[in-house]
Amino acid sequence: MPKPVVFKSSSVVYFQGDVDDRIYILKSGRIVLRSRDIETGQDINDLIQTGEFFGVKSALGHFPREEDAVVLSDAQVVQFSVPEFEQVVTANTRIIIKMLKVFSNQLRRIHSKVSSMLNQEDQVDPAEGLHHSATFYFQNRQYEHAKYIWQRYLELYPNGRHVNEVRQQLERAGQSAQAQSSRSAAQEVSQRRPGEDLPEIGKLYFEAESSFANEKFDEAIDLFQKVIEHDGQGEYKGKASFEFGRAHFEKGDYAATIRHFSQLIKDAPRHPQMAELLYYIGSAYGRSGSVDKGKAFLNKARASASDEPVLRRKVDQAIARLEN
Amino acid sequence: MMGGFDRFAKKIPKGRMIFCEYEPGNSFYLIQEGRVQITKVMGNIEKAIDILHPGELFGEMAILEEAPRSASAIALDDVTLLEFNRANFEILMKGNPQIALTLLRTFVKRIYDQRRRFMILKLNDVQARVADVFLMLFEGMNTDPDQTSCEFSVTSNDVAHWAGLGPDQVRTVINQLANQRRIEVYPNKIVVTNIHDLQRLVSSRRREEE
Repeated sequence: MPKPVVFKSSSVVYFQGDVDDRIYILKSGRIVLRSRDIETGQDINDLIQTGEFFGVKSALGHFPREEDAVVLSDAQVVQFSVPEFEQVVTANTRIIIKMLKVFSNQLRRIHSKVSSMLNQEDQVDPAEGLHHSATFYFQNRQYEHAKYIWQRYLELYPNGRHVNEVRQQLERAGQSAQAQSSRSAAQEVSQRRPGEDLPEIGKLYFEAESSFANEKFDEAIDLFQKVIEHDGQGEYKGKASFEFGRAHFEKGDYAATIRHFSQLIKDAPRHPQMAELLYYIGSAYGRSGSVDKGKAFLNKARASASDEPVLRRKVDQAIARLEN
Repeated sequence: MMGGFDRFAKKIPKGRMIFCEYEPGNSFYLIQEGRVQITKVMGNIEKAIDILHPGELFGEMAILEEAPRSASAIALDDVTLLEFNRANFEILMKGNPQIALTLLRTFVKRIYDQRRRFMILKLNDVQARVADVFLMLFEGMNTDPDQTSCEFSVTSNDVAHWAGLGPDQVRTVINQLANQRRIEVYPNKIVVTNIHDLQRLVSSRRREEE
């Protein structure tokens, strides 16, 4: 439950650098957010308006607080946990839209600061960038991508430097695409190779996804297994572990799907994709003939997927299939 | 589903480009079905940056006016997307508070990431800048804060990108750090021997420069 809290004048609600998940709304009194501008080092004092939320960004992102929240005169606030805050704002989207506007302004400001600090030489002219990308795809026989980009070039830069060349190339790309039309889109996807300078583990992961997309399940399972074993840092491990189970499911090996995802839940009882894990376990039971067990897991999945409409629809369809 | 917002849904066949790097962006997308690959063409190679799954957002930097797309998006399966733009933004957000919340969380993370990147770029000392890139990656890893040695699956080119420095310059700094036994360089990873040592290095340089 949101909790009313009273702060005395000159006390502090939180300090810069603190990590905690509480969000506040000011009911009465005066509280100021004190920080230093990251660019100029100047002191910034932002007085909070009555009725305004504060501490939102650091709580939602689990980041350290970016400012001191100092009480100027006795203040009453209401304190929310993140789930409580989410409940309140989803019931009143006007608040979220207002926050989105504030945050997108902040994002725009910091983004332009970062861009201006990056070496200007690194900034590619967008027209040149488009032409370069299209040429790259053309040379790598990905004619549909080349066509798409060159068409966009002509729309965006009708008087551009490369217009004549682009017109000719576009025609060639069209002819080549037709000649190539026997080759399926799936094969094209499989021909894309991840970049040379991607770390080994990343390459392996993308190779696995590519095999999966081309329905080479055994190969994909093998590769995902390697990622799980070798990804010490963990950037791809979580994704690979999830995809490993999905590949078993798509392959039709339901026993292995159930085994793997059950273990995953055991290891991470608060897995971020819990609803989906339950969905796959339920469906795997259903498809291997254990209708009751299947339904039980799907119902659990339904309960955890309350805020994921797409998944909920999939779960409902799976339940309906089992009931027939 | 989605409270009758199907009219904003867009179906993209497998293998098709959704948008291209450098194209001006005025809409962003929520994946409903299928997977989307994010890639960049760098010189003569195509670098795969990420693969996104249903429920994930992409192209949201389009909220920045006139900003060209920073990467391309390609459908890896037959994909269904919900397309957001200025005209339908408020209607979609009002009808889908969960999406609004996802977007809010995404913005929070982007603001933090950009601020963090700014802190790196503000350092004049190149060694401190490179060290701070490792600290940023460390902070994103959710590991035990008491851990000392730490492994990063990055190349010196990745570090150069984050530090806003030239690849040659970064290779020189990385060699210096390796000679000082602060890091160990392998073909596919870099190991920082003592992350706290780099923290001290960066914070003392930051103080000196202020």
